[in-house]
Amino acid sequence: MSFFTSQMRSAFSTSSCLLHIQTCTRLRVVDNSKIGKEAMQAGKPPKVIHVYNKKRKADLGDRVLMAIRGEKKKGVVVGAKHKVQEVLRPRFDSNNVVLIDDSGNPLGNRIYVPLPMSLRAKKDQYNKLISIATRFV
Amino acid sequence: MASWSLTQRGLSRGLRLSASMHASYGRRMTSSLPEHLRKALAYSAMYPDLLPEPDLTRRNYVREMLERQDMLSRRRAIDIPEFYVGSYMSITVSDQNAPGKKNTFVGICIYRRNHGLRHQMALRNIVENEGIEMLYDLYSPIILEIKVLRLQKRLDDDLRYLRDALPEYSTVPWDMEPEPHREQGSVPVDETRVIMKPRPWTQRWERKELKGVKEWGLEDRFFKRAVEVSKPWEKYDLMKEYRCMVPLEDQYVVWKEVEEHRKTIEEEHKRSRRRKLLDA
Amino acid sequence: MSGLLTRLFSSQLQISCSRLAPLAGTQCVQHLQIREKSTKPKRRKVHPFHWWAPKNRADMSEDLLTEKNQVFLQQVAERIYLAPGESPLNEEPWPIGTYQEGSRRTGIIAKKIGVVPMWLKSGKRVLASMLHVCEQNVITYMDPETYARTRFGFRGKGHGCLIVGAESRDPTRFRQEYLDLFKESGVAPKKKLTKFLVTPNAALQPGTPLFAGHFKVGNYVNIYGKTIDRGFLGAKRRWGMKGGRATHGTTKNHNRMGAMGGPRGRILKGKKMGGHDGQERRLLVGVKILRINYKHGVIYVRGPSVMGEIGAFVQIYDALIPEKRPKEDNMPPFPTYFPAETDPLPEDVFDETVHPFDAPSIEFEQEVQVKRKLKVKARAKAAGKR
Repeated sequence: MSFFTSQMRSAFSTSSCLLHIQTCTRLRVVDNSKIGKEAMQAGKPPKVIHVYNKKRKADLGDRVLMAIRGEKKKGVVVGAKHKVQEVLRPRFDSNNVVLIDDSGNPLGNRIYVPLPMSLRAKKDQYNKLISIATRFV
Repeated sequence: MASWSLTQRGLSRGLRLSASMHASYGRRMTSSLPEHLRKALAYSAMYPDLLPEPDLTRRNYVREMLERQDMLSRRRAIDIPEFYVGSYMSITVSDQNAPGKKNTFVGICIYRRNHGLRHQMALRNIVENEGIEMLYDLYSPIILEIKVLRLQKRLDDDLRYLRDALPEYSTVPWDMEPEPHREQGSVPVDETRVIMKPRPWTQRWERKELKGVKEWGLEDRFFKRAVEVSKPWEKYDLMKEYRCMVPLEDQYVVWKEVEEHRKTIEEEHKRSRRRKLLDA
Repeated sequence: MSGLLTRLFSSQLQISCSRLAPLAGTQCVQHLQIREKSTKPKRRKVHPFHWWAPKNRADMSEDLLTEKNQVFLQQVAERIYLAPGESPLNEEPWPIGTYQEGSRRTGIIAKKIGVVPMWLKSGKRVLASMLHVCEQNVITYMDPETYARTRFGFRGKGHGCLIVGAESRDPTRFRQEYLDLFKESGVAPKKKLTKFLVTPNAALQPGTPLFAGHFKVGNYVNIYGKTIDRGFLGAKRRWGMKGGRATHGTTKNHNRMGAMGGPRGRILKGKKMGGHDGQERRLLVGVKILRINYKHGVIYVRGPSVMGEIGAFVQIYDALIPEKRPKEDNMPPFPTYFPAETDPLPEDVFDETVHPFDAPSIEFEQEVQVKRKLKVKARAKAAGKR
């Protein structure tokens, strides 16, 4: 019995690429801010240069610092294609971001994709962002 | 003796057959099976969560009995309808963050996994040009309602390849009304075959023996390599099949309780469903 | 000096690791081995202790019994020994102790049968380990003075000791020395025996059966179990060492320990190296009981961390830390649960934080409702003040 079980367990992790949002990840801007639109049209989506949490891996609702058209801008991750799906956490087909300023106000005034419902829990931080969103999932 | 081994083999293969094979080969096979085996085949497709996991090192009679009791209790509290991978569904959950404390998601069921109380299913839909998938615990008390909008099967048991297919194949209208389906008889099989988007894909779908793909858009070298890498002997591996199956004697214990459950609780749920449709 | 030597060589302490030193007061230099006591406790037991009663018969093939005689022997065993769950009738019943502050009652032997998910009333999903309470009886009771005189009795700290046995077995499988252990209680010989330290007021008469009713939902328990046997493991995996680089030219040093010793000139005792891992007795402290199914004798304990594989024995007893001792409104039966026909236990009891499966789905209150409730509360408070 012990021989069988020790054979079953591997000595090292064999998980494949986990598709985390971390530094050097390219994100898709989903609002109508000027700089965001220009970046997406030019074919140079923003690149994450810092993730504002302890783990340095961004999840839904986390703030990130991005390099976009030569400028540094902050953003909120509103869509993530995690490899490992969790119950009741929506899995998007693309890693989406909404550009914000330092106080949490969005730079654009329209959002083109549905946002995760878990964002509504952070009402005090992202009040304006929630108000311009049209759809929650 | 020969006939028993044939039916045993046929049942074990039938239990692993996908819906498409049911349509062509399976139907011929099942009509020659005795009724209790035919029912076992049908129930193992309808209630995959009620069967225990086949791993011998983890099986225990008392735990399975109590888990099954809990699952049937939950099915008494809420109507968990019959559904398959490929069915269009609408699931309402309690959500603290939602405006009315309720959140509904509509989509096509792309996979089901795990045994017992851990059973999960995933719904996929394209909402405002964004593909979204939601994973649910079937027995979670947070789920308020599970509605099957269109009961159907597809050609494959796992529709994760829809992530890399054209978006029209994953779209389910959000305001879709539940379509009436025949309660008796076989489940309709939707023989749609999808057109894939250009590579890169999330997985090498050409190596997965999928039946639901019409146009791959790939060069011949991919299919050649798929053949080289394939393991065609696995379908003849009897021990592998045996290890993935729960023995028939243990299955009958489960299906006996399921029959009881169907006669009582499920009939009640069906009646209330019909009443709701008539009232609406 | 000679006295010291004789004491050293006649002691029963495990000694290893020697130092050489010259003998004083001698003409020639004779090196003396000074051995240090090993402070490293033995990790796992590979064989029964020599002071235990020998248990299993080596060879049963010499029985050469006919089938009729085998059946006859079984019938004799049934007549001699108590049936599972039966209480002893051969002696006068002992007086039942009363609970006092600081009392410690017996524990229970159970089998780990699996891990299942459960949901709390907040909607959170937790895992619960299922422990199936075996049919078991108290085998002997040793009062504190008797226990203190035994081999490890110095650890008793004034507690008595109850030996509990679980899972009756066919007596022909065991040796006579092992069967003699069960004479006092009159129960059938058991597969598994364990000790529980108890205060004298929690003493139980030999033969008393123990049930799942011994515990109550919401109490906290400690669980002793044997971890899964992981076999021989390298140092890196066994002790979580970092090992060496995977690439950048590293030659054959991916899973090695690295440096072994220090300036002492020798490897210190307890150096973490490769070796057998698992199959060790470990304690899980203070886990909460979420649910008890009294009908089938199954205890659901929070978390998947109960040691052992499915079917392994565990010992469960009341948690000792003050925060996790049972509260006054939820005291478990003392000294144990005695079944009474007039007052049967409910079939299935859930903790108040756990959502029962047959209850309707969880719905969260709307904000308007919550605000209204708070207003009503505030008004009632103000009225009360006036």
